[in-house]
Amino acid sequence: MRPSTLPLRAQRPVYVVGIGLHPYQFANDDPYVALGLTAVRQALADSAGAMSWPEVETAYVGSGTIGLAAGRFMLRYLGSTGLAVQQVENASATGSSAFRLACLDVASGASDVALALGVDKYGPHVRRAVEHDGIERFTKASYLPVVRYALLAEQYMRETGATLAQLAQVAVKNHGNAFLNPFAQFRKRRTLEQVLASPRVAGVLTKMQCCPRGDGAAAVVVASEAAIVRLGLDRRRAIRVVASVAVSEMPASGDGIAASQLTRRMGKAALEESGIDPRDLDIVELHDAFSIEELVYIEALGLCGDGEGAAYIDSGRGSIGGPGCAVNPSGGLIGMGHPLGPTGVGQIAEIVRQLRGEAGKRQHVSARTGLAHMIGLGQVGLVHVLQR
Amino acid sequence: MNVMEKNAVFSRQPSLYRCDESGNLTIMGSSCRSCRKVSCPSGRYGCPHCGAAAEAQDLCDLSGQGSLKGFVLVNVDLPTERSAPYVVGTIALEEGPIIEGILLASGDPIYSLDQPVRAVAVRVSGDSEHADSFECQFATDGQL
Repeated sequence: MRPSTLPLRAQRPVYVVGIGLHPYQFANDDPYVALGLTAVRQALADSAGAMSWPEVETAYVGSGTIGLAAGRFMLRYLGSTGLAVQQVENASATGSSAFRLACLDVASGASDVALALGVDKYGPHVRRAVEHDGIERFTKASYLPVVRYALLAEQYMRETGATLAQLAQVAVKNHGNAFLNPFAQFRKRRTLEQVLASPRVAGVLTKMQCCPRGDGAAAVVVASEAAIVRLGLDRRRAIRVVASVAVSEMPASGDGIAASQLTRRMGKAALEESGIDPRDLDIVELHDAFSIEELVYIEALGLCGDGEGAAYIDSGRGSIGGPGCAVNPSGGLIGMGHPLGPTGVGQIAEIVRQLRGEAGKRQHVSARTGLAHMIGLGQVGLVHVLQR
Repeated sequence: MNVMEKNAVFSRQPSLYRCDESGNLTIMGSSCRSCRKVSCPSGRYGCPHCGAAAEAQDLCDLSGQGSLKGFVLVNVDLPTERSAPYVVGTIALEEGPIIEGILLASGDPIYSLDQPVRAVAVRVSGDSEHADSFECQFATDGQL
């Protein structure tokens, strides 16, 4: 992969100064405007100091399902300040992409304060472009994520000797974390027996090992050093974004797994950009739409060796309060939910909460460095690294 | 669905495969004049391997033979696909492309990795638009 011409760390420092969420929920009649405004108002209030809506110069609105022009029709209820508004769509990585653009905006000096907002509503109106690309396929299942990841689960178990119970343990952990998260869509602990006994969706993946779809919103405010000083923001609660990497899939080499190789490539680039060793990561929020992904991606990110992912989670090293890096302390996509646009922004909010030491019962001790990882249909990938 | 016998000539996916009146199915792909790699589905918009233009892609017939690289049983109805249950396989076609296809459900199929499979025409019942339509599925030697 060609390295970034101008990595984030070589530009102006960028900090997350405010976070806000509307709880993720099953689809209902709540208008998206109400969800989005809840998250933005909370993020502005969380920024504290003299932060107010007119200080936000640019808004990136991550939304894949609502329709055209979701941003302006929502944000005007905060005041028509004339700020730049841009909608962003990048499948599951929609929110992560909105966050990246907000960071680059501040890092480049184009803005001092920018907003990344993810907001979406799920329903039968949601369509995939691949269904309209004019290409016939032997089966439409070829682009349905659950089928692709069920095939991956079979391959991973075959190659590593991981067991059904170890695979299910990912969901047990993430449902348990979501139980402690007031913004999560699922708020129930699940036992290993329950996860294994839930209906099989495809291959070895049971229903409780698959993320729910739904509605929600998440917002973060990012700012420059100058804005932090000018607005009198609390520097101790400002979390620096030290790397941002975006990539897309290349053909898998050998018998390798394309999604794993994509993660390995962007994880390596992001950690090199930030000068951080994977063993120094305290928090990872990653794309666990299906349980198998967590095992594959923690290996690809270097939290453990190849083939050791199942043992890493099974032994509790990926748990909050465990001896390793807490993986998906928010509950991940499986437990917290995957409303699409909000998901990647919500990951950032969780990491910021953890690095500030404000995660309450979900707090991972002495968390200093966090990484957010997201994969979008296609596939595209984004990684961000944040550090206290 | 039954493995087709004769006279079903309407392909459900005419850019992917065709069938003659004897029930013989042919998969279609394309060969890139630039990188020599074979694509299936064919490179309608260009070569997905090297990026060569669509004009550099030659349509070609494929053998329909390959080996099974993975398979999963789908138990729930998913958007845009058929009613469950059905089995999806990852198949490495002998000309190079790796595709996902529906595995033939007739008989008492036992699948294994690297097992040889081949494309077969399967009559689709309940298709009011084309009473004689067929689709491509993949079968093991033991099923034929």
